[in-house]
Amino acid sequence: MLKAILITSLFDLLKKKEESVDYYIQRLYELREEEIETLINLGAIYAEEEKYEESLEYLEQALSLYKSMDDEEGQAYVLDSIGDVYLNMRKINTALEYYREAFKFYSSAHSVSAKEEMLEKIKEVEKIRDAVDIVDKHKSKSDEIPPKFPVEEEYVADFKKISEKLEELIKIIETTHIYDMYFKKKDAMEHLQEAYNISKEIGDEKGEAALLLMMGNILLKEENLRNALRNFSDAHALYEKMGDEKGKAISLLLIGTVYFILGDMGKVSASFRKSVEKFQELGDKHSETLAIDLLNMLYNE
Amino acid sequence: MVINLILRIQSGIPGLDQITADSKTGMGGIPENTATLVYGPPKVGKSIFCYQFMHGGLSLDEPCLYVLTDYGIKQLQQNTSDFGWELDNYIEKEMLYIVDAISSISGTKIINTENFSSSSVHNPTDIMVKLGVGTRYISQRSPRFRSILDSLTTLFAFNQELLIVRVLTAYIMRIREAGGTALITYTEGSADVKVETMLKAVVDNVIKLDGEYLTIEAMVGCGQKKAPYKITNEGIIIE
Repeated sequence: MLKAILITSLFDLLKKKEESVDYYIQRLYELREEEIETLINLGAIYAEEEKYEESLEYLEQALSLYKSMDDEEGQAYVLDSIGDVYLNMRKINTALEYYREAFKFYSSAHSVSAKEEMLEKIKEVEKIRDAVDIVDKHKSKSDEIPPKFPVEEEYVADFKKISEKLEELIKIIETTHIYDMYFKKKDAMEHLQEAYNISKEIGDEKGEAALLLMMGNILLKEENLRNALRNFSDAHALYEKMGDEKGKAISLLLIGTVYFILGDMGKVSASFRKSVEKFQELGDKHSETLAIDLLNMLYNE
Repeated sequence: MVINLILRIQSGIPGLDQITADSKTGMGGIPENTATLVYGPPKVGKSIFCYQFMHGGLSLDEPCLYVLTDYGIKQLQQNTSDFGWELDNYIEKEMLYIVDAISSISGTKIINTENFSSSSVHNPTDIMVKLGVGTRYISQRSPRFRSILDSLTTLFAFNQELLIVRVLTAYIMRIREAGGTALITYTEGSADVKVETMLKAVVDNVIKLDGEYLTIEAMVGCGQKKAPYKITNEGIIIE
Protein backbone atom coordinates (compact mmCIF):
# COMPACT_ATOMS: atom_id res chain seq x y z
CA MET A 1 0.00 0.00 0.00
CA LEU A 2 2.73 2.41 1.09
CA LYS A 3 4.78 1.52 -1.99
CA ALA A 4 1.84 2.35 -4.20
CA ILE A 5 1.42 5.72 -2.50
CA LEU A 6 5.09 6.55 -2.87
CA ILE A 7 5.14 5.69 -6.57
CA THR A 8 2.05 7.76 -7.09
CA SER A 9 3.64 10.71 -5.27
CA LEU A 10 6.82 10.42 -7.26
CA PHE A 11 4.90 10.44 -10.49
CA ASP A 12 2.93 13.43 -9.26
CA LEU A 13 6.17 15.18 -8.59
CA LEU A 14 7.48 14.43 -12.03
CA LYS A 15 4.40 15.41 -13.86
CA LYS A 16 6.22 18.19 -15.63
CA LYS A 17 9.25 16.06 -16.35
CA GLU A 18 11.37 18.42 -18.46
CA GLU A 19 10.99 21.29 -16.05
CA SER A 20 11.81 19.16 -13.04
CA VAL A 21 15.06 17.78 -14.45
CA ASP A 22 16.34 21.25 -15.24
CA TYR A 23 15.34 22.43 -11.85
CA TYR A 24 17.07 19.62 -9.98
CA ILE A 25 20.16 19.73 -12.12
CA GLN A 26 20.40 23.42 -11.36
CA ARG A 27 19.68 22.76 -7.71
CA LEU A 28 22.33 20.04 -7.60
CA TYR A 29 24.82 22.39 -9.19
CA GLU A 30 24.05 25.07 -6.63
CA LEU A 31 24.40 22.61 -3.78
CA ARG A 32 27.77 21.49 -5.09
CA GLU A 33 28.85 25.10 -5.44
CA GLU A 34 27.79 25.69 -1.89
CA GLU A 35 29.61 22.59 -0.73
CA ILE A 36 32.74 23.62 -2.57
CA GLU A 37 32.57 27.09 -1.10
CA THR A 38 32.23 25.59 2.35
CA LEU A 39 35.17 23.26 1.75
CA ILE A 40 37.33 26.12 0.52
CA ASN A 41 36.38 28.26 3.49
CA LEU A 42 37.27 25.44 5.84
CA GLY A 43 40.58 25.03 4.03
CA ALA A 44 41.27 28.76 4.41
CA ILE A 45 40.43 28.78 8.11
CA TYR A 46 42.67 25.78 8.79
CA ALA A 47 45.49 27.39 6.78
CA GLU A 48 45.08 30.57 8.80
CA GLU A 49 45.38 28.51 11.96
CA GLU A 50 48.47 26.87 10.46
CA LYS A 51 46.71 23.47 10.49
CA TYR A 52 47.99 22.76 7.03
CA GLU A 53 47.10 19.05 6.75
CA GLU A 54 43.47 19.71 7.53
CA SER A 55 43.50 22.66 5.18
CA LEU A 56 44.87 20.53 2.34
CA GLU A 57 42.32 17.80 3.02
CA TYR A 58 39.38 20.15 2.51
CA LEU A 59 40.91 21.86 -0.47
CA GLU A 60 41.54 18.49 -2.17
CA GLN A 61 37.89 17.63 -1.65
CA ALA A 62 36.90 20.94 -3.22
CA LEU A 63 39.23 20.19 -6.12
CA SER A 64 37.63 16.77 -6.69
CA LEU A 65 34.19 18.33 -6.82
CA TYR A 66 35.29 20.96 -9.35
CA LYS A 67 36.85 18.14 -11.38
CA SER A 68 33.60 16.21 -11.36
CA MET A 69 31.87 19.35 -12.54
CA ASP A 70 34.53 19.87 -15.19
CA ASP A 71 34.92 23.45 -13.96
CA GLU A 72 38.39 24.54 -15.11
CA GLU A 73 38.33 27.96 -13.54
CA GLY A 74 37.21 26.47 -10.25
CA GLN A 75 39.98 23.88 -10.39
CA ALA A 76 42.51 26.59 -11.11
CA TYR A 77 41.31 28.59 -8.11
CA VAL A 78 41.60 25.63 -5.73
CA LEU A 79 44.99 24.60 -7.14
CA ASP A 80 46.19 28.14 -6.52
CA SER A 81 44.92 27.95 -2.93
CA ILE A 82 46.64 24.59 -2.38
CA GLY A 83 49.82 26.15 -3.72
CA ASP A 84 49.47 28.93 -1.14
CA VAL A 85 49.19 26.39 1.65
CA TYR A 86 52.38 24.66 0.49
CA LEU A 87 54.12 28.01 0.25
CA ASN A 88 53.16 28.73 3.84
CA MET A 89 54.64 25.36 4.70
CA ARG A 90 57.83 26.56 2.95
CA LYS A 91 57.48 23.75 0.41
CA ILE A 92 58.31 26.05 -2.46
CA ASN A 93 58.66 23.46 -5.23
CA THR A 94 55.37 21.77 -4.39
CA ALA A 95 53.70 25.17 -4.27
CA LEU A 96 55.10 25.95 -7.71
CA GLU A 97 53.75 22.69 -9.12
CA TYR A 98 50.25 23.64 -8.01
CA TYR A 99 50.61 27.18 -9.30
CA ARG A 100 51.71 25.92 -12.70
CA GLU A 101 48.78 23.55 -12.80
CA ALA A 102 46.48 26.43 -11.88
CA PHE A 103 48.03 28.50 -14.66
CA LYS A 104 47.22 25.74 -17.20
CA PHE A 105 43.59 25.66 -16.15
CA TYR A 106 43.26 29.44 -16.20
CA SER A 107 44.76 29.42 -19.71
CA SER A 108 42.44 26.69 -20.85
CA ALA A 109 39.46 28.53 -19.36
CA HIS A 110 40.59 31.76 -21.12
CA SER A 111 40.64 33.67 -17.84
CA VAL A 112 43.05 36.29 -19.07
CA SER A 113 43.53 38.42 -15.98
CA ALA A 114 43.65 35.42 -13.62
CA LYS A 115 46.17 33.79 -15.94
CA GLU A 116 48.41 36.86 -15.91
CA GLU A 117 48.21 37.17 -12.14
CA MET A 118 49.11 33.50 -11.83
CA LEU A 119 52.10 33.96 -14.07
CA GLU A 120 53.32 36.89 -11.98
CA LYS A 121 52.93 34.85 -8.85
CA ILE A 122 54.88 31.94 -10.35
CA LYS A 123 57.74 34.27 -11.30
CA GLU A 124 57.78 35.74 -7.83
CA VAL A 125 57.89 32.39 -6.10
CA GLU A 126 60.45 31.06 -8.58
CA LYS A 127 62.74 33.88 -7.56
CA ILE A 128 62.49 32.88 -3.94
CA ARG A 129 63.06 29.25 -4.90
CA ASP A 130 66.07 30.15 -7.06
CA ALA A 131 67.51 32.29 -4.33
CA VAL A 132 67.33 29.43 -1.89
CA ASP A 133 68.71 26.99 -4.45
CA ILE A 134 71.69 29.16 -5.35
CA VAL A 135 72.79 29.39 -1.78
CA ASP A 136 72.25 25.68 -1.33
CA LYS A 137 74.67 25.11 -4.20
CA HIS A 138 77.20 27.40 -2.57
CA LYS A 139 77.11 25.28 0.50
CA SER A 140 79.28 22.25 0.90
CA LYS A 141 77.81 19.29 -0.95
CA SER A 142 78.35 17.13 2.07
CA ASP A 143 76.14 19.40 4.14
CA GLU A 144 72.83 17.92 4.86
CA ILE A 145 70.05 20.33 4.13
CA PRO A 146 68.00 20.69 7.26
CA PRO A 147 64.29 20.01 6.93
CA LYS A 148 62.40 23.14 6.01
CA PHE A 149 59.89 24.23 8.57
CA PRO A 150 58.14 21.07 9.64
CA VAL A 151 54.45 21.76 9.64
CA GLU A 152 53.91 21.04 13.28
CA GLU A 153 56.92 23.04 14.42
CA GLU A 154 56.34 26.67 15.34
CA TYR A 155 58.80 29.15 13.90
CA VAL A 156 60.99 30.71 16.57
CA ALA A 157 63.27 33.47 15.33
CA ASP A 158 66.88 33.62 16.40
CA PHE A 159 66.95 37.41 16.69
CA LYS A 160 70.67 37.59 17.41
CA LYS A 161 71.57 35.56 14.37
CA ILE A 162 69.19 37.48 12.11
CA SER A 163 70.49 40.79 13.43
CA GLU A 164 74.08 39.77 12.68
CA LYS A 165 73.12 38.92 9.13
CA LEU A 166 71.28 42.22 8.73
CA GLU A 167 74.33 44.05 10.03
CA GLU A 168 76.32 42.55 7.18
CA LEU A 169 73.77 43.88 4.74
CA ILE A 170 73.62 47.33 6.29
CA LYS A 171 77.39 47.57 5.99
CA ILE A 172 77.05 47.42 2.21
CA ILE A 173 75.92 51.03 2.43
CA GLU A 174 79.07 53.12 2.40
CA THR A 175 77.70 55.73 4.77
CA THR A 176 77.39 53.15 7.53
CA HIS A 177 81.09 52.20 7.61
CA ILE A 178 81.97 55.11 9.77
CA TYR A 179 79.21 54.33 12.27
CA ASP A 180 80.55 50.84 12.71
CA MET A 181 82.57 51.91 15.71
CA TYR A 182 79.36 53.01 17.48
CA PHE A 183 78.21 49.41 17.41
CA LYS A 184 81.25 48.39 19.37
CA LYS A 185 80.42 50.79 22.16
CA LYS A 186 78.57 49.60 25.20
CA ASP A 187 75.71 52.03 24.77
CA ALA A 188 75.52 51.75 20.99
CA MET A 189 71.90 52.83 20.76
CA GLU A 190 72.59 56.03 22.65
CA HIS A 191 75.47 56.93 20.33
CA LEU A 192 73.45 56.13 17.25
CA GLN A 193 70.55 58.19 18.55
CA GLU A 194 72.87 61.13 19.15
CA ALA A 195 74.24 60.85 15.64
CA TYR A 196 70.72 60.52 14.27
CA ASN A 197 69.68 63.75 16.00
CA ILE A 198 72.68 65.51 14.48
CA SER A 199 71.94 64.15 11.02
CA LYS A 200 68.40 65.52 11.32
CA GLU A 201 69.71 68.85 12.55
CA ILE A 202 72.07 69.33 9.62
CA GLY A 203 69.75 67.68 7.10
CA ASP A 204 72.16 64.85 6.25
CA GLU A 205 69.57 62.50 4.77
CA LYS A 206 72.11 59.84 3.81
CA GLY A 207 73.34 59.71 7.37
CA GLU A 208 69.80 59.81 8.71
CA ALA A 209 68.72 56.82 6.61
CA ALA A 210 71.82 54.80 7.46
CA LEU A 211 71.37 55.48 11.17
CA LEU A 212 67.71 54.49 11.02
CA LEU A 213 68.73 51.14 9.56
CA MET A 214 71.36 50.63 12.23
CA MET A 215 69.04 51.58 15.08
CA GLY A 216 66.31 49.43 13.54
CA ASN A 217 68.63 46.46 13.59
CA ILE A 218 69.34 46.94 17.28
CA LEU A 219 65.59 47.15 17.92
CA LEU A 220 65.09 43.95 15.96
CA LYS A 221 67.73 42.25 18.06
CA GLU A 222 65.82 43.40 21.13
CA GLU A 223 62.70 41.82 19.57
CA ASN A 224 61.07 45.24 19.27
CA LEU A 225 59.69 44.43 15.85
CA ARG A 226 57.17 47.23 15.54
CA ASN A 227 59.74 49.96 16.03
CA ALA A 228 62.32 48.10 13.95
CA LEU A 229 59.86 47.99 11.08
CA ARG A 230 59.09 51.67 11.51
CA ASN A 231 62.80 52.54 11.36
CA PHE A 232 63.38 50.40 8.26
CA SER A 233 60.32 51.86 6.56
CA ASP A 234 61.41 55.43 7.37
CA ALA A 235 64.86 54.66 5.97
CA HIS A 236 63.27 53.24 2.83
CA ALA A 237 61.21 56.41 2.41
CA LEU A 238 64.35 58.53 2.73
CA TYR A 239 66.25 56.42 0.18
CA GLU A 240 63.26 56.72 -2.12
CA LYS A 241 63.32 60.50 -1.71
CA MET A 242 67.05 60.60 -2.46
CA GLY A 243 66.70 58.22 -5.42
CA ASP A 244 69.20 55.87 -3.79
CA GLU A 245 68.37 52.50 -5.36
CA LYS A 246 70.87 50.49 -3.36
CA GLY A 247 69.63 51.97 -0.09
CA LYS A 248 66.08 51.19 -1.15
CA ALA A 249 66.98 47.59 -1.97
CA ILE A 250 68.70 47.03 1.35
CA SER A 251 65.94 48.61 3.41
CA LEU A 252 63.44 46.41 1.56
CA LEU A 253 65.38 43.35 2.64
CA LEU A 254 65.26 44.46 6.23
CA ILE A 255 61.54 45.20 5.96
CA GLY A 256 61.02 41.77 4.41
CA THR A 257 62.90 40.15 7.28
CA VAL A 258 60.61 41.73 9.86
CA TYR A 259 57.58 40.55 7.90
CA PHE A 260 59.09 37.07 7.79
CA ILE A 261 59.39 37.01 11.56
CA LEU A 262 55.84 38.30 11.80
CA GLY A 263 54.74 35.54 9.42
CA ASP A 264 53.30 37.87 6.77
CA MET A 265 54.51 35.82 3.83
CA GLY A 266 52.80 37.89 1.15
CA LYS A 267 54.77 40.97 2.18
CA VAL A 268 57.95 38.92 2.58
CA SER A 269 57.96 37.80 -1.02
CA ALA A 270 57.02 41.25 -2.32
CA SER A 271 59.86 42.92 -0.38
CA PHE A 272 62.49 40.32 -1.26
CA ARG A 273 61.49 40.20 -4.91
CA LYS A 274 61.71 43.97 -5.33
CA SER A 275 65.02 44.02 -3.54
CA VAL A 276 66.66 41.24 -5.56
CA GLU A 277 65.36 42.82 -8.77
CA LYS A 278 66.98 46.10 -7.83
CA PHE A 279 70.33 44.46 -7.13
CA GLN A 280 70.06 42.73 -10.49
CA GLU A 281 69.27 46.04 -12.22
CA LEU A 282 72.28 47.59 -10.51
CA GLY A 283 74.45 44.63 -11.46
CA ASP A 284 75.41 44.38 -7.81
CA LYS A 285 76.29 40.71 -7.48
CA HIS A 286 77.77 41.04 -4.02
CA SER A 287 74.60 42.51 -2.53
CA GLU A 288 72.48 40.02 -4.44
CA THR A 289 74.48 37.15 -2.95
CA LEU A 290 74.08 38.59 0.55
CA ALA A 291 70.34 38.96 -0.02
CA ILE A 292 70.12 35.35 -1.13
CA ASP A 293 72.18 34.34 1.84
CA LEU A 294 69.74 36.09 4.16
CA LEU A 295 66.79 34.48 2.47
CA ASN A 296 68.41 31.11 2.74
CA MET A 297 69.16 31.62 6.38
CA LEU A 298 65.57 32.59 7.16
CA TYR A 299 64.05 29.74 5.22
CA ASN A 300 66.41 27.16 6.65
CA GLU A 301 66.45 28.32 10.20
CA MET B 1 80.81 106.53 28.94
CA VAL B 2 80.25 102.85 28.39
CA ILE B 3 82.82 101.03 26.33
CA ASN B 4 81.77 97.76 24.81
CA LEU B 5 84.95 95.86 25.35
CA ILE B 6 85.59 93.25 22.72
CA LEU B 7 87.95 90.62 24.01
CA ARG B 8 90.49 89.52 21.49
CA ILE B 9 92.86 86.63 21.28
CA GLN B 10 96.28 86.76 19.69
CA SER B 11 96.11 85.60 16.11
CA GLY B 12 99.61 84.14 16.01
CA ILE B 13 100.24 86.01 12.74
CA PRO B 14 102.97 88.62 13.18
CA GLY B 15 101.54 92.03 12.35
CA LEU B 16 97.89 91.05 12.19
CA ASP B 17 97.09 91.98 15.77
CA GLN B 18 98.54 95.42 15.12
CA ILE B 19 96.33 96.17 12.14
CA THR B 20 93.25 94.92 13.96
CA ALA B 21 94.00 96.90 17.11
CA ASP B 22 91.20 98.96 18.56
CA SER B 23 92.01 102.65 18.44
CA LYS B 24 90.68 103.20 21.97
CA THR B 25 91.85 100.12 23.83
CA GLY B 26 94.80 99.26 21.64
CA MET B 27 93.77 95.61 21.78
CA GLY B 28 94.18 93.62 18.59
CA GLY B 29 93.72 90.09 17.42
CA ILE B 30 90.79 87.87 16.59
CA PRO B 31 87.60 88.67 18.55
CA GLU B 32 87.11 85.96 21.13
CA ASN B 33 84.22 83.51 20.81
CA THR B 34 83.57 84.38 17.20
CA ALA B 35 83.91 82.55 13.89
CA THR B 36 86.33 83.72 11.21
CA LEU B 37 86.31 82.69 7.59
CA VAL B 38 89.68 82.79 5.85
CA TYR B 39 89.22 82.45 2.13
CA GLY B 40 91.02 83.03 -1.14
CA PRO B 41 92.36 81.22 -4.19
CA PRO B 42 94.52 78.11 -3.83
CA LYS B 43 98.10 78.32 -2.54
CA VAL B 44 97.88 81.70 -0.85
CA GLY B 45 98.59 80.50 2.70
CA LYS B 46 95.17 79.71 4.15
CA SER B 47 96.37 76.52 5.85
CA ILE B 48 99.52 78.27 7.05
CA PHE B 49 97.25 80.87 8.62
CA CYS B 50 95.55 77.99 10.45
CA TYR B 51 98.86 76.51 11.68
CA GLN B 52 99.89 79.85 13.08
CA PHE B 53 96.52 80.41 14.72
CA MET B 54 96.75 76.97 16.31
CA HIS B 55 100.38 77.29 17.35
CA GLY B 56 99.87 80.81 18.65
CA GLY B 57 97.14 79.51 20.94
CA LEU B 58 99.00 76.40 22.04
CA SER B 59 101.99 78.47 23.05
CA LEU B 60 99.62 80.47 25.28
CA ASP B 61 98.17 77.26 26.78
CA GLU B 62 94.99 77.58 24.78
CA PRO B 63 94.05 74.11 23.57
CA CYS B 64 92.91 73.54 20.04
CA LEU B 65 90.36 71.36 18.30
CA TYR B 66 91.52 70.79 14.73
CA VAL B 67 89.25 69.34 12.04
CA LEU B 68 91.21 68.12 9.03
CA THR B 69 89.48 67.57 5.72
CA ASP B 70 92.16 68.48 3.16
CA TYR B 71 95.18 66.68 4.58
CA GLY B 72 95.69 64.05 7.23
CA ILE B 73 97.35 64.18 10.60
CA LYS B 74 100.72 63.05 9.22
CA GLN B 75 100.77 65.91 6.76
CA LEU B 76 99.68 68.36 9.42
CA GLN B 77 102.59 67.27 11.59
CA GLN B 78 104.97 67.49 8.63
CA ASN B 79 103.71 70.90 7.47
CA THR B 80 103.90 72.46 10.92
CA SER B 81 107.28 70.87 11.53
CA ASP B 82 108.57 72.61 8.37
CA PHE B 83 107.96 75.88 10.18
CA GLY B 84 109.55 74.56 13.34
CA TRP B 85 106.26 74.07 15.20
CA GLU B 86 106.33 70.57 16.60
CA LEU B 87 102.96 69.18 17.61
CA ASP B 88 103.93 65.92 19.32
CA ASN B 89 104.42 67.59 22.64
CA TYR B 90 101.02 69.27 22.53
CA ILE B 91 99.34 66.04 21.50
CA GLU B 92 101.01 64.29 24.39
CA LYS B 93 99.94 67.03 26.79
CA GLU B 94 96.38 66.64 25.52
CA MET B 95 96.29 70.24 24.32
CA LEU B 96 95.35 69.24 20.82
CA TYR B 97 92.32 67.25 19.70
CA ILE B 98 92.30 66.20 16.07
CA VAL B 99 89.41 65.00 13.93
CA ASP B 100 90.97 63.59 10.79
CA ALA B 101 88.27 63.25 8.14
CA ILE B 102 90.53 62.55 5.19
CA SER B 103 93.08 59.84 6.03
CA SER B 104 90.42 57.13 6.09
CA ILE B 105 89.54 57.98 2.46
CA SER B 106 93.02 57.12 1.28
CA GLY B 107 92.85 53.83 3.18
CA THR B 108 95.44 54.83 5.74
CA LYS B 109 95.00 52.74 8.84
CA ILE B 110 94.48 54.98 11.83
CA ILE B 111 94.11 54.11 15.47
CA ASN B 112 91.75 56.34 17.39
CA THR B 113 93.13 57.65 20.65
CA GLU B 114 91.77 59.79 23.42
CA ASN B 115 92.50 62.98 21.51
CA PHE B 116 92.43 61.72 17.96
CA SER B 117 89.36 60.67 16.01
CA SER B 118 89.10 59.40 12.50
CA SER B 119 86.10 60.43 10.43
CA SER B 120 85.19 60.82 6.79
CA VAL B 121 84.49 63.76 4.50
CA HIS B 122 81.74 61.60 3.04
CA ASN B 123 79.96 61.66 6.32
CA PRO B 124 79.17 65.10 7.77
CA THR B 125 77.07 63.63 10.56
CA ASP B 126 79.99 61.65 11.87
CA ILE B 127 82.27 64.69 11.64
CA MET B 128 79.76 66.56 13.78
CA VAL B 129 79.58 63.69 16.27
CA LYS B 130 83.37 63.63 16.60
CA LEU B 131 83.40 67.37 16.82
CA GLY B 132 81.01 67.15 19.75
CA VAL B 133 83.29 64.67 21.50
CA GLY B 134 86.33 66.85 20.74
CA THR B 135 84.62 70.01 21.96
CA ARG B 136 83.75 68.38 25.28
CA TYR B 137 87.31 67.08 25.59
CA ILE B 138 88.95 70.42 24.86
CA SER B 139 86.55 72.69 26.73
CA GLN B 140 87.09 70.62 29.88
CA ARG B 141 90.76 71.51 29.71
CA SER B 142 90.32 75.22 29.26
CA PRO B 143 87.38 77.62 29.04
CA ARG B 144 89.28 79.42 26.29
CA PHE B 145 90.13 77.32 23.30
CA ARG B 146 90.50 77.52 19.54
CA SER B 147 88.98 75.44 16.83
CA ILE B 148 90.02 75.14 13.21
CA LEU B 149 88.18 73.63 10.28
CA ASP B 150 90.55 73.33 7.33
CA SER B 151 88.76 73.31 5.00
CA LEU B 152 85.23 73.52 3.69
CA THR B 153 86.51 72.98 0.15
CA THR B 154 86.82 69.20 0.40
CA LEU B 155 83.48 68.94 2.15
CA PHE B 156 81.87 70.78 -0.74
CA ALA B 157 83.49 68.37 -3.16
CA PHE B 158 81.92 65.33 -1.49
CA ASN B 159 78.55 66.63 -0.33
CA GLN B 160 75.65 68.85 -1.26
CA GLU B 161 76.61 72.49 -0.87
CA LEU B 162 73.64 73.45 1.28
CA LEU B 163 74.28 70.53 3.56
CA ILE B 164 77.76 71.88 4.21
CA VAL B 165 76.37 75.34 4.94
CA ARG B 166 74.17 73.70 7.58
CA VAL B 167 77.17 71.77 8.91
CA LEU B 168 79.10 75.02 9.19
CA THR B 169 76.25 76.71 11.04
CA ALA B 170 76.01 73.80 13.50
CA TYR B 171 79.80 73.74 13.90
CA ILE B 172 79.99 77.45 14.72
CA MET B 173 77.10 77.18 17.13
CA ARG B 174 78.75 74.34 19.06
CA ILE B 175 82.12 76.05 19.29
CA ARG B 176 80.57 79.31 20.41
CA GLU B 177 78.43 77.61 23.01
CA ALA B 178 81.48 75.90 24.43
CA GLY B 179 83.34 79.24 24.57
CA GLY B 180 85.75 78.61 21.72
CA THR B 181 86.94 80.77 18.85
CA ALA B 182 86.60 79.23 15.41
CA LEU B 183 88.58 79.57 12.21
CA ILE B 184 87.34 78.13 8.95
CA THR B 185 89.04 78.08 5.58
CA TYR B 186 87.55 77.95 2.14
CA THR B 187 89.00 78.01 -1.38
CA GLU B 188 87.33 80.70 -3.41
CA GLY B 189 85.26 79.41 -6.31
CA SER B 190 84.85 75.86 -5.04
CA ALA B 191 81.15 76.42 -4.37
CA ASP B 192 78.38 78.40 -6.00
CA VAL B 193 78.58 82.21 -5.60
CA LYS B 194 75.33 82.22 -3.66
CA VAL B 195 76.74 79.61 -1.29
CA GLU B 196 79.85 81.76 -0.81
CA THR B 197 77.61 84.65 0.17
CA MET B 198 75.87 82.39 2.66
CA LEU B 199 79.20 81.31 4.15
CA LYS B 200 80.16 84.92 4.73
CA ALA B 201 76.80 85.58 6.34
CA VAL B 202 77.15 82.67 8.77
CA VAL B 203 80.52 83.77 10.20
CA ASP B 204 81.40 86.88 12.23
CA ASN B 205 84.69 87.81 10.58
CA VAL B 206 85.89 87.47 7.00
CA ILE B 207 89.53 87.57 5.98
CA LYS B 208 90.67 87.25 2.39
CA LEU B 209 94.13 86.16 1.32
CA ASP B 210 95.03 86.63 -2.34
CA GLY B 211 98.76 85.86 -2.30
CA GLU B 212 99.76 89.52 -1.94
CA TYR B 213 97.28 91.14 0.35
CA LEU B 214 95.43 90.17 3.46
CA THR B 215 92.08 91.93 3.49
CA ILE B 216 89.86 92.08 6.51
CA GLU B 217 86.49 92.32 4.82
CA ALA B 218 84.52 92.12 8.03
CA MET B 219 85.45 91.84 11.68
CA VAL B 220 83.66 92.51 14.93
CA GLY B 221 84.80 95.89 16.28
CA CYS B 222 87.15 96.54 13.39
CA GLY B 223 86.69 98.30 10.08
CA GLN B 224 87.87 97.00 6.76
CA LYS B 225 91.63 96.70 6.56
CA LYS B 226 94.07 95.68 3.88
CA ALA B 227 97.76 94.92 4.24
CA PRO B 228 100.41 93.18 2.17
CA TYR B 229 101.78 89.91 3.49
CA LYS B 230 104.39 87.36 2.63
CA ILE B 231 104.98 83.75 3.46
CA THR B 232 108.33 83.13 5.08
CA ASN B 233 110.06 80.27 6.88
CA GLU B 234 108.27 81.52 9.96
CA GLY B 235 104.85 81.56 8.36
CA ILE B 236 102.73 84.50 7.24
CA ILE B 237 104.06 87.93 8.13
CA ILE B 238 102.06 91.13 7.63
CA GLU B 239 104.34 93.73 6.15
